[in-house]
Amino acid sequence: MKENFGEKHKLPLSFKQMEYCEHTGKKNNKKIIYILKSEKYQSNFYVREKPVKPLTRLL
Amino acid sequence: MILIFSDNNDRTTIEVIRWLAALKKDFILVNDDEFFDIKVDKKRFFMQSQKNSFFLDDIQSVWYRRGGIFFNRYQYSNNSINIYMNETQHWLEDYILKTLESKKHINKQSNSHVNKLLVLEYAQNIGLNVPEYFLAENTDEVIPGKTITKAITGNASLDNISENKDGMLYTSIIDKKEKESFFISFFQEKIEKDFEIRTFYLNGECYSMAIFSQNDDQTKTDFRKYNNEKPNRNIRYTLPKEIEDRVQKLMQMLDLNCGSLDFIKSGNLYYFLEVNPVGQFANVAYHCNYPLFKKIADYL
Repeated sequence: MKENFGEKHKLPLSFKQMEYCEHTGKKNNKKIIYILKSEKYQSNFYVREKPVKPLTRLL
Repeated sequence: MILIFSDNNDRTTIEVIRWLAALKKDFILVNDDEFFDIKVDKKRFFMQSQKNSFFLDDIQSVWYRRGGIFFNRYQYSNNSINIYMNETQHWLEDYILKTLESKKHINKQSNSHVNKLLVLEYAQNIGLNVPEYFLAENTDEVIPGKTITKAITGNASLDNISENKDGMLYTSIIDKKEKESFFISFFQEKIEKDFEIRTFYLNGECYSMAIFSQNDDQTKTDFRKYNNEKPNRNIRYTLPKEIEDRVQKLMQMLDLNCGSLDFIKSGNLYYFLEVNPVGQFANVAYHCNYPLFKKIADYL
């Protein structure tokens, strides 16, 4: 493995084909709020969206 | 009272909570950033964190979605006292954990992570087809183009591996031999698949989804490389009865009553790949219209 991420010890072969993406932790879109705080659901991660309509209700 | 352990950004947990609220069932949601003090009040164990508090004997059922219960442990300056008090606190924590696991539950904290290598051995022993696999530190035994490599860890992502970048270790095909050796890696025969199957298992029942990932180069080897512009087609699927029976046997061997299992269908054969006790199943519920969130809420 040419690049060993600066590590002294060897790494598994899958590191050679690692894919990268933008770090998601800092994503902060100020224009649209997707996630709300909800007391009822005891969560800071209440997703703001239209409820899913089950297919059976459309039949 | 229902106790739910999860992390702070899991949509599946919220979907189940929607049902709990609709069914008027009381619950406490504990996130993985909470630390509990163990207290005793009028001979009853009382747990208190920054956000939550409850009496142990008020808990009737437990869902270990993710994370678990973590404790504040006091440190003492005298080394001998510290060793003694460490053990004292250990047994109290052990009592809390084991008491919670003895209640009606979905999965357990103590076995929420499984060893992929052992799972494959168990799966072979109970008669599931498993693509041939081996561990190696070089590619001497690897047939290029016909072998894949993948992580043996539960988590394939490395957050912040370099500045503002996350790394993902997807399943990948080995197309050439390596000159140098590397850390022990997992290799498996590449199966030409007709389609993939993701099965959600809960208390003896299987809810399966076929994922048509083989026609898209991006998702061909690992469907988690989602193609958002042209998503894979996902439909309901029913595994043959004998495969479902073996799934049940495997889950019993692993002492799991809930989890997500991956299969590949190739010709007439179903190949078992892995089981993930804390895997994501919201996609199976949404695409196939399975009432999985309600099933969990009903059971708790």
